[in-house]
Amino acid sequence: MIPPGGRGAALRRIVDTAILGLVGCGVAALAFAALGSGSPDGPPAVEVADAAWPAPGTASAGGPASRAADQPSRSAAAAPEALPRSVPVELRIPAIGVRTGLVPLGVESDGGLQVPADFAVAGWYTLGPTPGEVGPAVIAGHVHSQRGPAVFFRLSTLRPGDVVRVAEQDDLVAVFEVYAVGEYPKAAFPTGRVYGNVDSPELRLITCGGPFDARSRSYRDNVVVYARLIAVERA
Amino acid sequence: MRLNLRTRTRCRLTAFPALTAALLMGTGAAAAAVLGLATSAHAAQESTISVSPKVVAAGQAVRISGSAPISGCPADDDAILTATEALFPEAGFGPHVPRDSSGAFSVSYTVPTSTPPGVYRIGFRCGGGNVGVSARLRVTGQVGTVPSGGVATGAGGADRFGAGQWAGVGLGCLALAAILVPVRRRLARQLR
Repeated sequence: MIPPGGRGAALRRIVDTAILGLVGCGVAALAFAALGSGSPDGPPAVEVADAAWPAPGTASAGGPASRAADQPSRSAAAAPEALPRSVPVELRIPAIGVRTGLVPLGVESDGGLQVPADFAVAGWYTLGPTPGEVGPAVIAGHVHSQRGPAVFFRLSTLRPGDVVRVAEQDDLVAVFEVYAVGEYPKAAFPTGRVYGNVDSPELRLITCGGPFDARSRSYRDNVVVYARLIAVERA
Repeated sequence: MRLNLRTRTRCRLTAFPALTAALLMGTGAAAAAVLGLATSAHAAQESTISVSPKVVAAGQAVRISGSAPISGCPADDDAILTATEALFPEAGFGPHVPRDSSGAFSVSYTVPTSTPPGVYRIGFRCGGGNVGVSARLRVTGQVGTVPSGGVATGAGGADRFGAGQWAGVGLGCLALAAILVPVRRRLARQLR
């Protein structure tokens, strides 16, 4: 039926190629599985341990020189006055290339902090102070989605001295300076330190970190970045 | 002392009801207009205290307003706010607030961040005695509802396409290749 050398030979060549290709891909994928299980695209580890815990008011160790350009000059003496309550609308962290809108977050039915449905945006906790008000304002974001890095992928690489800006609905921008970065097992989350009362306007940025547990499909740890208000700018 | 003050106040008020009422209604209305106090003219005859807002986070300010008739406590005397040490750390005594000629006062007070959540009764002293009225203030944490436990911000995860998935893809490819091998053989036979 099939003429020799014509369509049949072409078909055979196509099938040959397919077999070869599939075998190649299969072997490559198996090799990748064997070698690349160390999650090459996992979130970076916390660079600055929680150990250095500067008391409020003491100057924190500055970040790398390359980041100094971000930092607004500040007179060490006067901390800015607290801002009135205003809904935060945008978060900018130049040191890690974050610029995102903010969605409101509440608590889940089990009492835990809600997280944004969208992996590309961060959320602010509405049952606490807004950024710039006296107290610990809380912003949370995902570290990673099934498709790759999420909005807070590099949060754990922030260092004391890095600057975080939060633009608010009333056209004011609260400028915060990181003073500590901590990583804690979720089972030992430092609720008091993160959510407890403070004397001045502060900010907490929260994401996940540490090893990923494939079975529970979640990270073991939470990364918390602590920052305090150092300036107020007009949007 | 405290009881005496109150008793004296009552006696005086009943002794000259018409005159006192007329006087206080006038000044009370003026004070209410000027200070924006939510006191009726009638209330000025009795001591009052109020706090606004009634629920506040630690570290935020409240306005505490009130009045004590000048018949019972001269207008020169300050109102000395009282509560527990948690709210007024100096032995439970808060601001000393000057009163106007009608006996009214109003002050802004910042609740210390050290104040634990709870309900506090704010009263005041005037002329050496406790005036015997109080207002309730509920203090919450700065984070009103503290979320429990850790935060599930890793729902995606870095290992979503990890070793297991790659192995699956590899085996799938090899299986497909294995299916194609007999096809290829049949093609070869037909061509022969």
